[in-house]
Amino acid sequence: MSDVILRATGLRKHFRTGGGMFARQSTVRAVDGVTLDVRRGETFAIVGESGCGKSTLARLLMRLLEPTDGRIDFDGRDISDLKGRDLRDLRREMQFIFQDPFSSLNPRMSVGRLVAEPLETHHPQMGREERREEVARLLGIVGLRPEHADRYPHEFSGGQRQRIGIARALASRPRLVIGDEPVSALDVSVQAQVVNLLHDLKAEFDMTLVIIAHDLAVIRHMSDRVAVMYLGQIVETGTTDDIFAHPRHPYTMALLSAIPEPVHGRARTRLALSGETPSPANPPSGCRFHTRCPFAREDCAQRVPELRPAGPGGQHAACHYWEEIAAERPDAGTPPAHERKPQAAARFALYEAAIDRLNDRPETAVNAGANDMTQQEEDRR
Amino acid sequence: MMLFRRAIASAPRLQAAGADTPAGRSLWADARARFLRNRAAVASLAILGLVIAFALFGQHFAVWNNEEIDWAMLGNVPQVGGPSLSNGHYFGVDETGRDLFARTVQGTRISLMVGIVGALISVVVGTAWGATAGYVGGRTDQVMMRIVDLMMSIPYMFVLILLLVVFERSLIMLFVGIGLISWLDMARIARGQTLSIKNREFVEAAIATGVRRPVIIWRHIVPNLLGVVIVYATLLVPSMIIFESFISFLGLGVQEPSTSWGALINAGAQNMRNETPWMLAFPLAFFVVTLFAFFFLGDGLRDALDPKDR
Repeated sequence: MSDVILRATGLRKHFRTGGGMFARQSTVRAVDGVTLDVRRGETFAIVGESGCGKSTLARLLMRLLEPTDGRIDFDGRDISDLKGRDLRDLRREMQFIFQDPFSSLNPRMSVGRLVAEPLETHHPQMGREERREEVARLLGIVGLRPEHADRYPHEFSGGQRQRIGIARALASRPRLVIGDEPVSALDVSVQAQVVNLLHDLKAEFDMTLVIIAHDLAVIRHMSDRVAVMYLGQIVETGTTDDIFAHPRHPYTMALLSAIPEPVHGRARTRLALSGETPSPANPPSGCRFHTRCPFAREDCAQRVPELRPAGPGGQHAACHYWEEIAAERPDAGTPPAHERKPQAAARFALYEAAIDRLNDRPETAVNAGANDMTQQEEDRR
Repeated sequence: MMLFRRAIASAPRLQAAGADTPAGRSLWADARARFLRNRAAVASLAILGLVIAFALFGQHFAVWNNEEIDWAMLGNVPQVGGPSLSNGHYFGVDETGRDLFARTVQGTRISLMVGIVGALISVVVGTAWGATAGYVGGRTDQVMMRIVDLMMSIPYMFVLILLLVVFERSLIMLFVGIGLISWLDMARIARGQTLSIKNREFVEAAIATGVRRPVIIWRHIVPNLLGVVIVYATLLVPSMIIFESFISFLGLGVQEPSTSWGALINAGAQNMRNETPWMLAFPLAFFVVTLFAFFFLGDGLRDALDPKDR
């Protein structure tokens, strides 16, 4: 078995817009030639600003949209032309977590039926009682109580709904889960819980996770490798540590320099971008970033850059001049998470010890914490 | 306001949450509670219940059969044919001396049946047609909706008259005619709603789960359409009744000895000059009250099923 579970090769998705009786048709190149490998068991993050094609890419990988061009291999098998039964079987192996927990759950179905739907679809031989038990187990895994199965989505908070969505995604025991900004619609306080939940589940069920996000803090926290997207193309990939420590593509540098740093008095060199993102219906020639790139050279408007090696750890960047730029700006990366002072570290250790003592439940600390949070969310309502 | 009420309603549930199993409240249960708070709608429902009971059991209270002619009345109906408790003609007699109470029971039955059959056909056929066209989309949608447009563009009155003339005038033919036209509007409404529902993420989630297309339509689209469909159906019942009455008023609808509200009102109106106002008053009163009740019911349902919390 190869190391790669999901591979996209030259993936393109073009949408036709307009084209009424008199309007001219235009083509939006939402995803334009994406090639990427997701390795078994890793957390792979796709980052980019709004409208860069991340969600379209996620839906292409899921086969929720038909690619205009290119191929997708799942587990060494070409899945770009699967239909009917084969496609349904594929759905069992790959699941999706949606961005908006308010619209991704059918308001007319109880939580039990929502979570049971994948079971009904993929394990029709399962009996009613068996299914009930499985649903109760799944709800327990994501930190909800079994009796929640009789309730309806509108009776839950956003964080709880997202947990329901996760339980549904886990129901068919997928090997790959793609999350389309799974936490960006949630309160900041709830985001951390859901991120941690995903992280633990991934380890527990031996899954591969592909996370689409625009929140760099979330990505740094949970992902192993990152791909940075700009206008439908991947401009840089590499391990999370490499990318955050020494970004090579100017766009990545700009993204990272926008992260606020919780260090008092640290002088920062922000790399501000000017102008708007160009329209994907009419992308700039050459390097698509040249219109906003502070380091753009003359020929950037003519030559299209390819992803090429840009570091020892498998880092790749699509920039003609990354070497020169790196020499110009040695401080582009973000510093490693800063150290606590000894006194503060001692105090935090005390807090943690106290919390551990309070947690006398037999469950794992994570699950207990999740339950507490669920209770709190409920109380808040 | 709505939210506030919801919050109060959920307070006892929260306390119960820690204890045993708190039952979830579906959106339907919420809607029922909201509907029951609407007095006009509940009263309308009660009135409709009475009208239906009148249609079902009215003949047991009638002294006279709807076909017998009271020969004592014939000849001087205006003088002695009026409503009276003593001779058993509660609503009086019609111009041929038949008991109007029994005739009204008979007419109520036919009119309600026409209304309900028309609404049922429109709910079943219209929803299925519209939801399928909207969900599948593309060429299928084009073809299906053009069929609807085509049928709508033919003057239905003309078709109906042709149907009733070519085939024998019968109740079945009337139902066929009403069935043919009643679902067209519903199909359009259902399609429009489906188009907005099918882009919601829960439908995409079902696709991502691998649920089959017919199951998605049945389980995810139709239940979310139903609010709109039910409201429209309750408003369609009276319009079907009016439609039938109009046909009967033209003399094309139900045939003697069968009758309907429209036919009775027609007969009453023709006898207005003979100083027999009861012949018009009783059928008309039933007609108006029932229609009012249906409209109020539809209004109440619309308020109750309002998609505020969807």
